[in-house]
Amino acid sequence: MSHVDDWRQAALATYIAAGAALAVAGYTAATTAANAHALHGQVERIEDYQQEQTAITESTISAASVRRGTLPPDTRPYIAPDWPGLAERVMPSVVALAGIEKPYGLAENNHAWRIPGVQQNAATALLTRVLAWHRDWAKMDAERGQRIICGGVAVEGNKVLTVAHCVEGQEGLRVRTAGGEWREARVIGADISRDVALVEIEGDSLPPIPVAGLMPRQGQDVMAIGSPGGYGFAVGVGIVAWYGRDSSMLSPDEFMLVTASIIGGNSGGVVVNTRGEAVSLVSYGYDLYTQTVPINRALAIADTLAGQFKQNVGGLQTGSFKVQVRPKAVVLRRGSST
Amino acid sequence: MANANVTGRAAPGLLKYQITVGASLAAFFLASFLLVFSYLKNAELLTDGDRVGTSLERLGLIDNQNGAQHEPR
Repeated sequence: MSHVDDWRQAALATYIAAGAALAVAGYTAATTAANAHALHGQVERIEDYQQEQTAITESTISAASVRRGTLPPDTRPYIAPDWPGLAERVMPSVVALAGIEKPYGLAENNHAWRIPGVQQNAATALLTRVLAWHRDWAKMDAERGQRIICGGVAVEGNKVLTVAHCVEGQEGLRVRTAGGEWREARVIGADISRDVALVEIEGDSLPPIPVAGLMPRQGQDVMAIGSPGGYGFAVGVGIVAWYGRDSSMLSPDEFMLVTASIIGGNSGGVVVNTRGEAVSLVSYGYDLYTQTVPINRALAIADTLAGQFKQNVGGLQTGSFKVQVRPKAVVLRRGSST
Repeated sequence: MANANVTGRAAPGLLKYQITVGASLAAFFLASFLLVFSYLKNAELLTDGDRVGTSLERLGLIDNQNGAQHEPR
């Protein structure tokens, strides 16, 4: 074969290979650039939305407005807090929620794919596979273990009330009862944008917590029980700091801000007044302040979740849940009535 | 063939192939750059996008839905 023929063959081979490489690279670059653009657009959308919502909130705020809860104020005679006695009385209704996070896998559970405009195709599948190999997600998935992540409280029968972000992203759930017993648990439903979830536990019912029909007044004492840093059944005390509309983390709604300090793990924990009645659920924190979901709203959402769950399973008896494929938990969409 | 090297004047044909190989290699470099760029952008999407997607759901700006699958559209 002549020298020229060698060059001709080499040119042909590199020409074809380069064309193929450019086509593949162009396809992946176009996909990822479009995804980056969609992501950027949604970041701006969130910023605009929060600015708009903040303006709405600030336009309605006054000293009088932040004193009002979503229920009538508690004007009953003041009971001085007996924190040790209160903790003892409330604790049997409290649980610590433990979970195993969903695996990284090939990013199937990544929320990025839910962003409008973000596309998945062969290019993202290939790039994600390389990323999984590069970051050794398989090893991280293999090392996952159960850990206590949140708090919760028994409200009726085997039903436990907690917040949605505690159960979201968890592959398996168990609860640790105040008596030190592990129980299997499953999600009946979760309303992500209102941060309420209803969980059903196996075994005997726990004593339901009494629920306040009145909201503590601004400045009244409250106690939060949760699992800060995984330390289940820990208590923290504070006062009611504020009532009002908030939209910084969740869809705009009425909240109760308390000063009972929290760190990661308190979420889902119950907040009680000095009579031991549930007044709210811990949702998220602002430094020293903790935003909580008023109990009446949490229970109303839980009722909706339980109702939708019953519809989903088509009248199956509760006892059959254990042996069948798990019925799909209800996830409320925005605009669902509570 | 016109470029047969019987007279010692094969340069025009050879140059054509050499240019093609050179251009192809340049295209390879460009493709490699694009792939690395795409890889980094996809990694950024999975990190920042997870946070943004979660925020959108929590703020009620998108419906919750089950985890999407890798399927060609």
